[in-house]
Amino acid sequence: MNNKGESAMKNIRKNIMEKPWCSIAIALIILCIFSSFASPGFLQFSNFRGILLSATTTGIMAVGLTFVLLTGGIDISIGGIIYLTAIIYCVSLKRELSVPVAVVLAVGAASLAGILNGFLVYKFKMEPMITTLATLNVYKGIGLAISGGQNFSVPSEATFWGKGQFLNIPVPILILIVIILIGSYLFRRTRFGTFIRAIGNSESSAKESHLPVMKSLITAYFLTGISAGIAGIIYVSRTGGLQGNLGNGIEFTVIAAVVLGGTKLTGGSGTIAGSVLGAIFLVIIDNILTMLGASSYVFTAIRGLILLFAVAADRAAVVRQLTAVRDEKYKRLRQRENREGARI
Amino acid sequence: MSKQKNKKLIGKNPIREFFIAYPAVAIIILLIILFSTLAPGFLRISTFRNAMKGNAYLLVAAVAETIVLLTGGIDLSVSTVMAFSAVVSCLYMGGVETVGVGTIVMGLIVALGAGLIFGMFNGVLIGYLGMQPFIVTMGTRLIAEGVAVALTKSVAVPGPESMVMFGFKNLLGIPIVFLLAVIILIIVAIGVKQSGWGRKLILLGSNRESARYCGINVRRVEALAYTFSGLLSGLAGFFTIIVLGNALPTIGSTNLLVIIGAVVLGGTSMAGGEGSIERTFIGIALFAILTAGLNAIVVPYTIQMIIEGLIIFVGYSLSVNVTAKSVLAVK
Repeated sequence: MNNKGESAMKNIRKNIMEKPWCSIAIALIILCIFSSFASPGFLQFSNFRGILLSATTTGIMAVGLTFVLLTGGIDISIGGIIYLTAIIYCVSLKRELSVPVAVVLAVGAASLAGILNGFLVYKFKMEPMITTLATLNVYKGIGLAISGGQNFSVPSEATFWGKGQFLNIPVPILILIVIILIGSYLFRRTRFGTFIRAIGNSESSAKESHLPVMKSLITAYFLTGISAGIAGIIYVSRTGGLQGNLGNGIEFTVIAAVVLGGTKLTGGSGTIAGSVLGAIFLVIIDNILTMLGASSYVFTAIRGLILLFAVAADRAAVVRQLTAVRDEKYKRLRQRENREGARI
Repeated sequence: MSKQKNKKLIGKNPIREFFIAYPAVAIIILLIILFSTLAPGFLRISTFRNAMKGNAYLLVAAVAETIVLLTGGIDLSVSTVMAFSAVVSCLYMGGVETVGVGTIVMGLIVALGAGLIFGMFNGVLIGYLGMQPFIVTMGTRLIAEGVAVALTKSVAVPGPESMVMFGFKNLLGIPIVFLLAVIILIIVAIGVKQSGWGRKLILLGSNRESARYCGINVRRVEALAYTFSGLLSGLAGFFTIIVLGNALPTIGSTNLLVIIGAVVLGGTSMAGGEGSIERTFIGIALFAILTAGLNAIVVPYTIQMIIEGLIIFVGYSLSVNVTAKSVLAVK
């Protein structure tokens, strides 16, 4: 009886605990409980809405970046892409193009940038890190050349993507939800999702199995690029303007969010939900620090500490798992030795 | 190019062989020819003197990065640890008023200590606890940058007058800072080539498992690599005070690209095990000449960024595709 209950518990644990996004979800819940004790303003609806709104930019980019990390690559250039699209959006609005045309132009540029990244990574067999480091400079440089380093403002009729509401829900949150759904569909239900995980596990085996490596890689970088583009449009629409430092260092925040969500940098395993939860987690940290009255200068340092802590926790779990596997192996070996010894 | 042809060319022509092994040198020569035709004022001693002085601290930081890349890891925290130690050291020495030699020596020790702490932290987490270098150094990068910015409220801290004056001193027409940086590079290069630890480092980078089976204490070698890299980053931070005259907390976020770019352009592989410290000198020289030349022909900063990105791309793809292929062909 007792045994049965235990095995049921084990089943539940197995089903829930083995999901990669589980640890970040638990961390998020603990953080929320802590925050609600630490500051009474935290549990208000408007605060949650604000948190979700600020998490949209990072969240959308995190969904896109998850695909590239799954292939075992990395995309540093998203900071450049977000600036490039934001500036194209602002400039085309300033030239009095209509909003849909501006959106198409901006997102088109972002997709092209993403496809170029994927093509270069595949074709020249260079480290994705160096390739995208180089393209980061190129995209940011093109963006700055267009803007001339000036600040731009978005006309009020074009801020729908950031400030608008649909059925009383802010548009950015709706877009985030749609992107999560599309991402999860691509990740779980299409062959593309399987291919990129296969590439992440071993690119050479994927090639030998005649998987379309080139197509999948380019698609993964394309998804990252387009998500950075959408995030860029939402960001400038929400804040109403564009500063020269937009996108500086955002790649590290997004990578941190994805890694906090349980995606492995070496590729092959990860989830979309985890990445979004990771992005929300980072925003909540900023939120609670602001509420506690911490100076904004220390945010970066605390983000770094949390990232290290998360990686350490992940590593500890891996070590525990490996030890358990090793112990099991030794146990079986010992049993076999005993059996064989008895036979002799 | 067929295998046979490649083999023949390499065997016969030492100049060609040299350029295949060091494609960055070819780019440097092309750049010098290009810039001297475009800008008549480019080929002056003062251009090169300024380039040498301005890049002295990047050279030291790039040496720090090379050590880590040789192990097959990566250190994203080099540039921000550099900024952090510069800030801490400047705050320790305090103010613009003339300070004694003793204070400056203590400032150097503080800078080295700050770098060493971050390096050891990286080393223990990566070497002994087996965590991913990319994420760990990203975390320490954020911590170093955050603390540096929080300490200074994002404002540059002025360095001591005597150190700034030292930056202007020349020996035989060459800035002394640059000479010091080159001496450090040579010492580290000899250390990596000749010492047992250096050879273990390269073996670790080329094949971790076989290094372990050879009886090398892989954990200690790796941890030491990151520690040493942190120490050199601290030294680079001290150099920034001499070169720039102040400690800028935000200098770390802008320089990472140049540092990693220079190391890989020099021909050190990111996969580890291939490359050397002296190759990094070529990479930094390429970047220095590129920036000096673009400034001489008055190219706007934005276009410079684009060109820098393209050069990294072209240079690295040359070193990956040409060098690797020819080496394979010879084998």
